[in-house]
Amino acid sequence: MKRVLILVAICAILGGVYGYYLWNKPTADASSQSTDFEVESTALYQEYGNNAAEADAKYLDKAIVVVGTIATAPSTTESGLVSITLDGGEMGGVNCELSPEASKASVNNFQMGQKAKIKGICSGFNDIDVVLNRCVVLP
Amino acid sequence: MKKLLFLVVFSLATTIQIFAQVQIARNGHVSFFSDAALEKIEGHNNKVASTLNTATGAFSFKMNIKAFEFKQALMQEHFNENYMESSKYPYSTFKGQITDLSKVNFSKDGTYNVSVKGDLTIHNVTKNVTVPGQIIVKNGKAQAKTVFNVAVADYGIEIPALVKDKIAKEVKITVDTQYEPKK
Repeated sequence: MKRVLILVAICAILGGVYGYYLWNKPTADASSQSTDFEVESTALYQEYGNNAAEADAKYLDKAIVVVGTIATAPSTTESGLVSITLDGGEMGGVNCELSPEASKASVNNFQMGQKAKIKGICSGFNDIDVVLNRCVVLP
Repeated sequence: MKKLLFLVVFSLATTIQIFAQVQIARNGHVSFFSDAALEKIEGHNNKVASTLNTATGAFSFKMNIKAFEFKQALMQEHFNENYMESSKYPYSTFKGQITDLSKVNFSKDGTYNVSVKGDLTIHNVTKNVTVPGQIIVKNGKAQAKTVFNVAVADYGIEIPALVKDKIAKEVKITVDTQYEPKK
């Protein structure tokens, strides 16, 4: 009887610890996600410009690798997240927000006109930019 | 001929004028805050697109729901899957108008308190809302700020019975967008 109680108690503690771990697990960046897509930023922008619903069906919530020219000066939010926009061929582009770790590592590494290869998770098209979140910089 | 030339120049000038009156923001910030006994829930979207027409006072906002970032992965998952259903409804929009535009002088630096009225769409439900806001003009560039509460039930968002008493029925929305003249 005592043994059963101890077993139950151990299970409860382990369950609690696991629950606590799950609850506090930080949001993952794109690096660990597999991807089927590697596209030029201009091509991705055009796909969204032509038919946003179709592009959403293909890309929304998926990890994408995007290659393109940095079109705007990098910006940093108050919380320290760095963003760069890759050329979309028109007014908008592919707006990439880096993960906190990637932001810290590459805050001074970007210049307008440079080529960049970014992997991020697509959150859709806000009528100006295609947005990628939790991005990492690929070599 | 002269008349035609005048017409062309005039229409060109008007086009340029209208062009310059639209300011855009592509890194606008909208945050969502729910203060509850169970847990404080906070999400930030730094990729909100917005346009402001300084001549007509027309405002538009569009944001990707999946671009809201949370500290905890589980919170982000619950926000997207259980509440906002962001795979079905991936966007939220606002289209409206400054109702007291005459208060704002876009060519003079300053902070102007305004009222904005328009259609807010969340979770595929559209409601007409009026919110107080601030227009801050600096060097010809506008910044827009507002804080308002949204009752989640108004937008067809259900709180599961299990946590009904532990999650706030109203969430605080904070908007801060910095505009640049459209090039």
